[in-house]
Amino acid sequence: MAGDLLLTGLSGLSAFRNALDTTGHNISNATTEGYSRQSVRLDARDPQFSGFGYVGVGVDSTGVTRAYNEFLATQFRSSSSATADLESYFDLTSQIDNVLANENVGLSGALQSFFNAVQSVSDDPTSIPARQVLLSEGESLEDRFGTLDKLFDDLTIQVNGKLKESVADLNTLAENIASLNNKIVSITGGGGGKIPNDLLDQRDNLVDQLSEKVNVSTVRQADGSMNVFIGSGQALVLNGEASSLGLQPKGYDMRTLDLVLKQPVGDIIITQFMTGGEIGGALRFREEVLDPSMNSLGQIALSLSHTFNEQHSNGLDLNGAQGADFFTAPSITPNQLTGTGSLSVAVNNTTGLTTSDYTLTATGGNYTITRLSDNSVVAGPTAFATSATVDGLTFNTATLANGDSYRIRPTRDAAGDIKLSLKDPRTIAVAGAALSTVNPLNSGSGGIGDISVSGLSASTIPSNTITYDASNAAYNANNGYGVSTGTGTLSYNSTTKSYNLNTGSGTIDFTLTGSPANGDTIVLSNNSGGVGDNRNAHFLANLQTDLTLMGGTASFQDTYGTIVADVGRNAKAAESNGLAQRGLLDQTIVSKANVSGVNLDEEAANLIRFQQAYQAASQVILTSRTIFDTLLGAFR
Amino acid sequence: MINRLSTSLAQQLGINTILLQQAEVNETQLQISLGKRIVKPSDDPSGSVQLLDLKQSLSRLDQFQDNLNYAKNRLSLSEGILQSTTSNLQRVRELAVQGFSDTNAGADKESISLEIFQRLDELLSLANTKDANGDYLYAGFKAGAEPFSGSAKTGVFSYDGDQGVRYLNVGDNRTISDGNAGSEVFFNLKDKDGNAESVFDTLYGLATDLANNKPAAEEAVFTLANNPADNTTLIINGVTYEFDSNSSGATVSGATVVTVGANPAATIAALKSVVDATTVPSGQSAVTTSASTNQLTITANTAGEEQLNALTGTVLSGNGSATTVSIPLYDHLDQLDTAIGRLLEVRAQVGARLNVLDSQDATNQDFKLSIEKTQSNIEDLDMAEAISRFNLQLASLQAAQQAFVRVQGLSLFNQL
Repeated sequence: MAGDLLLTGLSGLSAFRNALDTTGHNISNATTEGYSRQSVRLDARDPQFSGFGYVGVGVDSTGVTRAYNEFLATQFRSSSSATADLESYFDLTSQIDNVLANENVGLSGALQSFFNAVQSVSDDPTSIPARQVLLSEGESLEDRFGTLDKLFDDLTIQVNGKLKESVADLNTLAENIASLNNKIVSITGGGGGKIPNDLLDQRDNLVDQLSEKVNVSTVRQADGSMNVFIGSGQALVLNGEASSLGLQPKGYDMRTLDLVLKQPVGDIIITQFMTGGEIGGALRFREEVLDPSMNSLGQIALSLSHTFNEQHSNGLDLNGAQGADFFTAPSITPNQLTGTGSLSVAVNNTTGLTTSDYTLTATGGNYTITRLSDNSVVAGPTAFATSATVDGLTFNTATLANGDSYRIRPTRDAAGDIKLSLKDPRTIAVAGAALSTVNPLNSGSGGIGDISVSGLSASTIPSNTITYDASNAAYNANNGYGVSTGTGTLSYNSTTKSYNLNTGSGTIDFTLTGSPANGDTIVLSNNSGGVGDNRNAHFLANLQTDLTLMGGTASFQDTYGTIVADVGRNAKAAESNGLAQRGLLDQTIVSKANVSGVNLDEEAANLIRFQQAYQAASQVILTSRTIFDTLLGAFR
Repeated sequence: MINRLSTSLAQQLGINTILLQQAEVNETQLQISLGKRIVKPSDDPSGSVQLLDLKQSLSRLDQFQDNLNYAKNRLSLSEGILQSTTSNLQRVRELAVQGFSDTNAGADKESISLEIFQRLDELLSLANTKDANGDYLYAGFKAGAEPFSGSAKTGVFSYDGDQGVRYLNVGDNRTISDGNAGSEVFFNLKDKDGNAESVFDTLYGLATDLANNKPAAEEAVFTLANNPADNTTLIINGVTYEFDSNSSGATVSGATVVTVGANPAATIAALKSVVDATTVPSGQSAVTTSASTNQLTITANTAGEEQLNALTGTVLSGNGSATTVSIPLYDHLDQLDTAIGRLLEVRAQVGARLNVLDSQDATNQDFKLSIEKTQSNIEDLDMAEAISRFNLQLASLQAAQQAFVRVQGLSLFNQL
């Protein structure tokens, strides 16, 4: 018999039933995340030969396929990683961004108030209230450094928290993907190669989630399982096996965490390979924004405390004593990574300071110092006995031992360590240490112009009388002046036209004005009782605008401005790049959804279409029965 | 190609658009309520650094103005003191001129000298003036200790301050001194012999000499401790007198002989009578002599300086004899003029500094204004632009919301 209409009808009925079921499945999963629209593939059955030709015998459902585009999925994941990276970077950066230029929290306002207070003391050196104000402003400067340091510390902790959370998520996702791999492999094998679309969707969805945490790439295996790699190629899932990630503190900084891949033979640090996603963004923030900001702020703190203390120690306080430390200058503690020796590092000059970290390694009796910002060897190999002065730092290397290695972070903790040291307003050294007295009986008009003291080692400067002698050859070497009473040594610098008197307890630099006559004398002596003197305060106030940082190109305010600008620029770039990346991601989501997403209108139309086809197929069965009835009726 | 949209995504995209617009509205609202274009550095990184610099400049300018007012107050105070001092000294000068008149009896001169002593005390207290903060104005750096000590009683005056002058910052790279050291104002005035003399010494000397009824003319005192040796000479007013103890007559050519008496007093009396009898050579001042025991005082008849030649002669290096030329009142007057001149000089300096401060004040104000203008240009919001932007954003947010509701109402299922 050629063709069985009943069977043909039946095949249509069951095919459209499958199509209707799938449409229903689509509608039900219209909002399921990661779901790909499915459709039933229908193929006409092989026809039957009936002499005159081939007669069709109906339809078969040959498979259910999901609308899925591997290329779009990959594009989505890379966009998703990039977006999450920028957004997490921006979220963290904007927390600093909002604070730095704020007048109540930023450093700028406190610096201004502090130096204004110095000038107020300079206006009225004997006023205890003005001195008290300076101490209070010094304290609030300390507080401001502390607050910012705390903010940066909090952000370090926040980054750590973010990493912990992401690592936990990564580990869960990896395990789930691995178990799905197992499931898919066994089901596919059991189902004769038929693919479980919904499980694939689930797995793809997990990989999508993974891409928000970190860059991800996948390789599909022949057996249906999927290998997943993160960052720049670290295997996370291989077939049914998931690796586990963990965190551990950095060797030289317990507060900073490294990402590690857990291995039976020992954990491998993979921080440097992690790019993209929330993890990449957080790591990038730490490296590009947080660390430089902390180091720069520390650089300001270190430089401020050193230069201020140095100038302060060249003055005399209200009691006539030499100025003590105004701030407790932050010390530099090298982190010893290996070895048995010891190393100490001290600030030599603040203009040379950089924000970079350094490493020092000692082998074969020699040491080598490397600056990490540009990875250049800045000292060595040099024998231990010879200490090195590099970038404003003195490395005391005498006690090194072979096999030592250190990491030195000169400015890292300085902002948190700077403290106001003076407590008594009378101990602020406002007066200069040296006093010049021109003999009233001089017949010429010679006098002292600028005068300053450096390297003061005691509050009392020995008295020296300098005399102008127009004829004496020895005196002429010093432009006519010489020490006539006292033990100091006078020298003259013809370039700067300034004199330098080394008294043995401090060096007095001065310039002379007017034209002296033969035999004129000027006495340079200590300034005891000079409570109304404001010369040292004057020098202290000048530090506000003196270019004491970055090789003598920047003031404290300039350096702080650099931090503000860098953070602001980074935040701005991250924000606009994030928006652009988000736009790209949206575009990819749309493209992906255009392929895989469920359109309810379409499903409604399909519902009608398949329902009508189903009805038609049942009509075929009815027709087949009618034909059969007609045949039976013919023999009745 | 027919573009099929995922229904749930279309909904999500609609919501995203609304959220985005809400964020924009929010940001503009924040800008408007703060009136600022730059709310955080990332809004304009270079602008916000410029703002930090401008704020520092403003804060420094405010401090400069404080310093400037400080200097002004101190200089004004100093100016007042210097004025009082000047008028004090001018009064002393009037008194001195009055006292020089020979018509005054000794008692009158003494009463004038009493006033000068009082003026001296007043001058001392003026020189020891403290400023509003309790610092001595003319002590140099040693502002905590009284700089001028001494009194009309002792007649010994000293300056315990130093030559220090304090400078204040009144502008970027602009410093100005807020006073003068007392040594410059009251001490270290050179007298005609090149020695340092204070204005106090001058007043004391003037008052003392007046009280002692010293004449206004130059005078010289010749004191004879022992009788002079034979043939020693003394030159007074260009005339050589030779002392003779053995009646051998003049051995020095042209000398007038003075016979040595039994004791120095007698010799002085003999000298007086010989000097009185000698005709004054041309070009020399007529003199009046007075003798008391072993002293001969020679006074010029004409008031003023340079009337007498100094006494010279071998007797001065000989027999324990000596002469002094006492400071006449006119020297005091000259010294007083020097002191007044110094005061006027210092007052002129103070006045010049006050002028400089006034112009610096104006400069600072101008600078401040221009900084504030720049700051406003960078930081402040263009309100008109912001409000119209705000309205536009509100309108488009509303449109997005309405469109969302409309689109979501469309579904084929509604038609089934």
